[in-house]
Amino acid sequence: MFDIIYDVLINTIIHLTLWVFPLFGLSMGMSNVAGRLQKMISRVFGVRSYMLLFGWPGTLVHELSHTVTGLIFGHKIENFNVYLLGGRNGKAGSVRLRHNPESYYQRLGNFFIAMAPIFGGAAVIYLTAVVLIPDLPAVPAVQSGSIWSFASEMNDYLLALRDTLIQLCKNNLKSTALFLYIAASVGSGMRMSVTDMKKTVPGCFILAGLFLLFHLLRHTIGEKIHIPVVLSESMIHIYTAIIAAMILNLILTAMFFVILKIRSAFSSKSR
Amino acid sequence: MNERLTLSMTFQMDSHEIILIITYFEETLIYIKNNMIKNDPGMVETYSLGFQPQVF
Repeated sequence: MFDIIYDVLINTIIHLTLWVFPLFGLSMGMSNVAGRLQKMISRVFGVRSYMLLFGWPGTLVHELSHTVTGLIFGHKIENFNVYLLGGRNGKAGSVRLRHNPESYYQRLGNFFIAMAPIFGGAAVIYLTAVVLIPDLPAVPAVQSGSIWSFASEMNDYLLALRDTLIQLCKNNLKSTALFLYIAASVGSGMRMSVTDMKKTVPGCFILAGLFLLFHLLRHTIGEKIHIPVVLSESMIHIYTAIIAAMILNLILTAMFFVILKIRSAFSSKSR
Repeated sequence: MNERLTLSMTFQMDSHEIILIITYFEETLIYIKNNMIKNDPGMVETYSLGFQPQVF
């Protein structure tokens, strides 16, 4: 009996460690980098120009991600706002959703709704890359499932992605500019506030409960049930897209930092 | 309608595909607009995106 409880608990913790905690880590990292990118673009262009040029498309993707995920989980929309030039109190956009607190499904939805802009933004950047970048390297398919093999394949993938981007820049400046514009615009909106983070907590407990139930069922009816391979592969795709988007955002932040420095050097010379 | 729009030197997209993407996008926004509900029982959660405070 003790062995079963131990096994169920360990497997639940492993699943949470592999599936849920990296999402939290990546979401926090992405939010931080996206915030820096937004700050840097705002310094270069000014806040209103940032909103008009880059802010609103990113905000639209951000709020649409919340809303569409909300609809999937049965939430009702009460309000949907995207401000073209930025609203009052420094707001770029907002969405108000209503759910039934007695429904576990709808409460689980809060976890995914809060994190949706990270997934939605990564998906839009990935789709833009598929459309605009020819010969996009294939996302690594990790067979052994170990963290180190994933890290090694991820490294190879990012190097291949870098080479493809350099090649695209040499061959087709228009596509590169369009891709970088969409990446900067959508990337700067891939942020989660602290309140959004807090909203994921109840859903996280329900998710942990589901994993626990799954492993208990496996012990009861044997090894007949499995987590579908497509789900594990989708997680790898999501991690890869977020990591690639994060690195892209870092590169864009560095680019805007250089533009800012060049501009301030010129303005100090003219004085 | 069927002519191909050249978006880049290496990538070509059918005008139908572009119109389809725009239509999906528009339909989603119309669906959101038509399905807004006021004063329904339940718990409200507001998700908002703000500017970084240190910028201002």
